[in-house]
Amino acid sequence: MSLMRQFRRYPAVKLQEHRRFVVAGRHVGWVVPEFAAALARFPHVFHVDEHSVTLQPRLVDFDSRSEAVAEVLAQLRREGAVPGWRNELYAIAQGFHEPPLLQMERAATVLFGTLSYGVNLNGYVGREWAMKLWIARRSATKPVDPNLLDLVVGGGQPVGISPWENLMKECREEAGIPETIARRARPAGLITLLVRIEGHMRVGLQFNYDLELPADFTPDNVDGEVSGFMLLPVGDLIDLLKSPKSAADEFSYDVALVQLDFLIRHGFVGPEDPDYLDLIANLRRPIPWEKVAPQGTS
Amino acid sequence: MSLLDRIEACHRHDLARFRPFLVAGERLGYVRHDLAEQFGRFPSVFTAHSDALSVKEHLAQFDSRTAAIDSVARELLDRGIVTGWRNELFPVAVRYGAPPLFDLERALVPVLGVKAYGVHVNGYVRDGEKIRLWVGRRSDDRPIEPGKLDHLVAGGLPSHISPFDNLMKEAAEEASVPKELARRARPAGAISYRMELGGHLRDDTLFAYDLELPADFVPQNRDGEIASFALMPLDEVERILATTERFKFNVGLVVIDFMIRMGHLTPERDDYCDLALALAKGSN
Repeated sequence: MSLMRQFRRYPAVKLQEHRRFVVAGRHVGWVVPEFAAALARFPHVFHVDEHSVTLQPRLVDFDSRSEAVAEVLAQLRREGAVPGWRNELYAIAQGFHEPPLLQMERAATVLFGTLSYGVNLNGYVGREWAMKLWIARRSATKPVDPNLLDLVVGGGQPVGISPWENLMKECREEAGIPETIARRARPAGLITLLVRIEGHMRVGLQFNYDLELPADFTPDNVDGEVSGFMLLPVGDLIDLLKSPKSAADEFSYDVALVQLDFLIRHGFVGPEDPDYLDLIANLRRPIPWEKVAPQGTS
Repeated sequence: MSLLDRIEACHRHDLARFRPFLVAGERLGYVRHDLAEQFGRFPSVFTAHSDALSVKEHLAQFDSRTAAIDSVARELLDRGIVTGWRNELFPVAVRYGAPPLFDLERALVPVLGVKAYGVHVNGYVRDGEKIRLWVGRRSDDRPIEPGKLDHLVAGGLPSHISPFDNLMKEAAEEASVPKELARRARPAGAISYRMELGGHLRDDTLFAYDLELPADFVPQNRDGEIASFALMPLDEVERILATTERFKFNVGLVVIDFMIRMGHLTPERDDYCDLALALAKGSN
């Protein structure tokens, strides 16, 4: 099978079925339809019409917006409408380097379809076709993709910490990589995500890093999120991405794309692959924000 | 001026100035309105409507289509409407890797605005943590971008040759890279752009390759297309790209992509996401 399989594992996102989430005149999310109805019950915070969910303009700054949204989410959480609460805050803006318009609980960002960020590490030993990649198996208790295959290190990007600091922290917690080794990681670009999985939107931008690990290093999970690690030859990785032998050989959706990007950047997949240009296009789809017409004066 | 400006310049175009160029019902290019009328003067080969320029449907085979379009091209050359004949054929297909619908003289590629492909090689030397990039200066007599800074090895992709074989050939001609060294080049991605240049629409995809070279290798040009080579620290390459137009317009795309992949540019930069997404714009 073709590597394009990775982009077809979930149905295409139909953005026109979603409503734009608008804050301060900026389009910052795509609200899943069922959730828009729930938000309409809080008209002092959200104005909901057939196209958009707009945060009330009377909420003029970061603090007031974050507080009002937090109150609504606390209520919805009690009703069971915000599954997988994380107690972790994500910044909401059109782009990573823009001042955030508000912050909200991580579990809600997939309902609002806002842009979230992650850091990922491709940890490998050896060069050329003798290369092997360190792969993790997610623990059975993870809320998302339990038991699926994962990168040696990867994590969401919370508020108040730089991608690099986050990577160093995740290297320590997820794989026990000492800072002296982790510091040799190099940023290698980004990929974007746009997918709807089990009612959740992932609009994502992932910062990717490469790290050549010493041959005698073995990762060691500290935070309990990983059930084990293994070294996978790069040829076997390509085979798994093309067609897994069983469900247990499947990678998390975003992880598979990070690895696809790695294979392309390192020349393991080249122009002789008939899907080369399509793979490259799909790895960095534009973030789907639209220009919002200014509010009428009526 | 900024790195982002270099990328944006390669995406600047206004399709209103052009009309689609159709072959067998597929859009293969974009041609300027006044030039479409010139092609329309050869009604046995072309039909010029206000909304499209089409190749006549009776030209249904690769050979007959190639020959008929070539005869018109030569006529337009005689009339001075087409210039810069290269005697080099480029394949024209619906998508990369698909069987070509016809072969086209290279000088006509921008005139009809059909998709073209190139191979660009980032030839670099590691010096501890630092990376230096081999940069060529184009000869002053080149028809396109004379005197501008260029890759160690770069070239358009003609018919009937794979990107890698073309790379091997160009590496020998342009920089005297020995075969056993050139063979170490690795594909690293592809960057597409669509821009107006010289009144035509250029619709290009560049296959990027990385080639790590030993510190004692010194390139030498054989075909007269490059006047000199220099080994530049990436900091200097970045400064020249960000503040001048000394690099050939499309070389910056591949070099900025290289600087992102090599970790020379980092997510801590305010424009990091904008740069990466701007590079991907032409692919989407």
